[in-house]
Amino acid sequence: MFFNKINLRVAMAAGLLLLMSACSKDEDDDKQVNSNNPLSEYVLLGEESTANASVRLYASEDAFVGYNEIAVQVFQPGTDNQLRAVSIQLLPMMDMGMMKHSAPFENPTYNESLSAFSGSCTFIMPSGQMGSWTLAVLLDNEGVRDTLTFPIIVVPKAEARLISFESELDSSKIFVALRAPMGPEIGANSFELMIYERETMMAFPPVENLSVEITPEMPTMGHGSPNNVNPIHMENGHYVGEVNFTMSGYWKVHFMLKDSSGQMVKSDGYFDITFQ
Amino acid sequence: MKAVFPILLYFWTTGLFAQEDTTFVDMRHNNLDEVLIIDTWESKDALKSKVEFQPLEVQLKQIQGVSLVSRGSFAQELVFRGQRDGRIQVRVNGMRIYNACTDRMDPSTSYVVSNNLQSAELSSSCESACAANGLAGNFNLKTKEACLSKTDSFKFGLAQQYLSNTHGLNSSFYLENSSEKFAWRLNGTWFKNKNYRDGKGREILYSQNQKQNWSLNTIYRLGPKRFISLDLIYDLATDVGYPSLPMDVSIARGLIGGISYRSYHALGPFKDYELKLYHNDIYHEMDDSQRENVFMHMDMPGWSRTSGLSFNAFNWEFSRHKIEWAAEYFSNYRRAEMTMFPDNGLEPPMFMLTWPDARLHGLGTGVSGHFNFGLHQLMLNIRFDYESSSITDKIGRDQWIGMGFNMTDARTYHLPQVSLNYSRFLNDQHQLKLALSYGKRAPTSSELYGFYLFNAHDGYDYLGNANLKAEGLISSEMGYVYSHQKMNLTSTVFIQQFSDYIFGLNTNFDAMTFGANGVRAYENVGAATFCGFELGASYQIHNAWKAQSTVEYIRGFRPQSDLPLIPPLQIDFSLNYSYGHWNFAPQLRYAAEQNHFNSDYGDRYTPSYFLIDLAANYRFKINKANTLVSLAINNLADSYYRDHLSWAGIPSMGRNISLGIKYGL
Repeated sequence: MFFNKINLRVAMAAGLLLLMSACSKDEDDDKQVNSNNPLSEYVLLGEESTANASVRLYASEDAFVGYNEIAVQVFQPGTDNQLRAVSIQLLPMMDMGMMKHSAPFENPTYNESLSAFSGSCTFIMPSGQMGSWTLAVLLDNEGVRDTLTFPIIVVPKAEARLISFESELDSSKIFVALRAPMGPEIGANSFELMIYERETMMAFPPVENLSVEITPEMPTMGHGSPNNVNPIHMENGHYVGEVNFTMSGYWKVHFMLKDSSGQMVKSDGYFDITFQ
Repeated sequence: MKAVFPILLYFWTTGLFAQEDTTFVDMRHNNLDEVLIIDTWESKDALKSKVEFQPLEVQLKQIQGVSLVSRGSFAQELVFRGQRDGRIQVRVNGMRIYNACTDRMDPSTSYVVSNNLQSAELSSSCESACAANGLAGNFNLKTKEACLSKTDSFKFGLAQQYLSNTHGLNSSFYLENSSEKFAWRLNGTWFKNKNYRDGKGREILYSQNQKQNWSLNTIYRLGPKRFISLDLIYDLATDVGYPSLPMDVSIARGLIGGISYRSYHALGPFKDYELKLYHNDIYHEMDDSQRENVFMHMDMPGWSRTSGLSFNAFNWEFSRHKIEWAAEYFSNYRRAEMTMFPDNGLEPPMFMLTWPDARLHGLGTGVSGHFNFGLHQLMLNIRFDYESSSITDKIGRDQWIGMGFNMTDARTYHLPQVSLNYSRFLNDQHQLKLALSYGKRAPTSSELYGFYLFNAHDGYDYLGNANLKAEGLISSEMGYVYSHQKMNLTSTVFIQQFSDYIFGLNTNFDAMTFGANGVRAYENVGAATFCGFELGASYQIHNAWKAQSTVEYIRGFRPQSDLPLIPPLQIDFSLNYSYGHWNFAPQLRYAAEQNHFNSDYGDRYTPSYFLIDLAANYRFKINKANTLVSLAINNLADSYYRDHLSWAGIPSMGRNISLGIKYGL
């Protein structure tokens, strides 16, 4: 009994200390404290259920025109047990009344560190009077299929994260989304583009054979920066490089696309990136 | 510690207030040998003008081998034998001070005003003793000190000066209180100058300046042979224009303090020693808000904080030889920012760190020996320094990682210095001297970490290089002195051979500064050579007449090209005539044309010029107080000229008449 009391006191004291130390920690540490909920940084876009499964749909931030990181959690209905063996397919759809079209996406696969399925969807226009977006999640749980459809409100970002144009080579419609940097800083930043082509209104496959050249510029000052790394193709239309921001402020990162034979696809694309 | 340059230019020392002016007068009452003059290697002070009220820099320029780089009419940067900034060290009362301005608008000399200077010690690399480690030369500016005296006394002095060219007013005073145990001295100076005019009568815009300087020195006798003293300097310059630069200075502030303990009780074999603890805090703010047609306004503040502890033990004497020992630790923190404000109202300000929170630690120790064998004298100096610097700010590190550098490790440098000096008296009149030295220096903060620092002389942005190696110097000097009664002749020939010379080379990067020519990055470029000679002559024509002359010449070059900012051949001639209460000092200054210049690095051809200065002083007493009235005319003919070391080729000041009066007990 006596020892129990002591143990209790020790435990309380330890708990208090932990609490105090937790309170005094700065933001970096707070993220670690939240590591038991890796999706805490995500935004819940919606929750839908069928008899077989209930699904929570997340995105890394409110859906916007551009490359959206999508996370999907699938539960046994009425429980907290995640179903991890299901296969998931996405189907974004823009309904404009007279016509419909889809958007580029990457089907989610299970990501242990996120404890959710993670994939992406690149919304290519905002929701509005023109039409509205839905994102369908197609589940296949060992032959049991379900489709859950989420209405999505897609907003444009003040600085475009997606641009589209016709290829200077063959007039095919190309979409380039800026995936990184999301939170740019002074110094070297990862610079990642996603490049797709519109084959049909329903098919937006990645373009994998391009060479990309980037040139950052501070238009107000008329200078660029040294030591940038041109993005090269990794897989599925992901082109990864580095951009060096020598100072904070308004930057314009120009890019030029050429095909594998060196023919110009886009000579003067750019993204505006402003940070303080 | 050679070439002690007592400021004889002043009546504060020579005439009016001379006898009580040095602290150590009193210490010498204790038969203590404070000022150790190693030898009279050469009379760097061969030419002394009797001109009153000159700015400190102009006075220092009288020392042989010294020139000034000017970016305006304020706080010119000292150059010794073509070397400046990181290659020479300028200390104030033995304390290290690092400038807070990335454009070197605030050299250490700017914190000492001329009426508070007691002496300036200059030593070349071959002559340096163990207390300092400037690679190509060391300056130590000593401010005036309070002095203890057996009788309680109180003194004061006032001075006022008017300058015609800048409509400038320069006021100063001092108060001094002495007793046997405790003494203090307070010195205050203010001055304000408007734009100056060149020899064509044109106003040089943005050359105005205004500043105040306060200096307090106290000394307390802890025991018969133990003293503690406190030094405080507060300097505040506001509204300083720099016509060579695109920006001016709104605030340059220095707070400099040191406490030293001096004991004349033996420490081991050393007869006396001094321990000094110091700290200084320099703040500097550049300002372009007064300029017209500014492309984009920017804020550029800079901070520099230095702390140090130095220990010097003197006078280990045996037979006629002497040994001294010095050790020091210092730490310097520097940060400079640039924030640009686009005036379209849409974009956020642009920010970068031009000095990214660089922290420098240094540890050094050295021994100097002075060996006297009668006709032969030998001085040996050995010193070793360890310096380590790193970036302490995340943005700063990220900036450099973005440029492709590995910033995880601190940059460390091992810096040996050795010098050997031999002098021989051939007979009573002739003395021959030979000296050789070897040393290394670490790159400066700007050379390591400076981020797009604009150089208005060559119009390039300069990038640091954190992978620089230490720069090496082998230096040799040969001197000859003839002195016979009224005649004194000195000559020195020197050659300095740098290895791993740190120099900016072109890159293909975009310039950051609007309108800049491009970007240069510091590299170890290999060899650079400086060679030249200095001649001095003085002749006492008559009791009242003295003539003096100096000649200086230097070349500086890399194997393929001349180096920038090398002064041309300069010849000075002065006469001094005293008659009763009067003193007259006309002076002629000649600078040859400079054909050896480097236009890629901002230089241009500079034509020769010839200037005439006149000065007259009259001394008298009002009651018991000494009074001095002085009139000086610089550039009598109002010649239009340009000094080769003026940045961006701005013309120098035209005729300037100054009228001054001093009054003091």
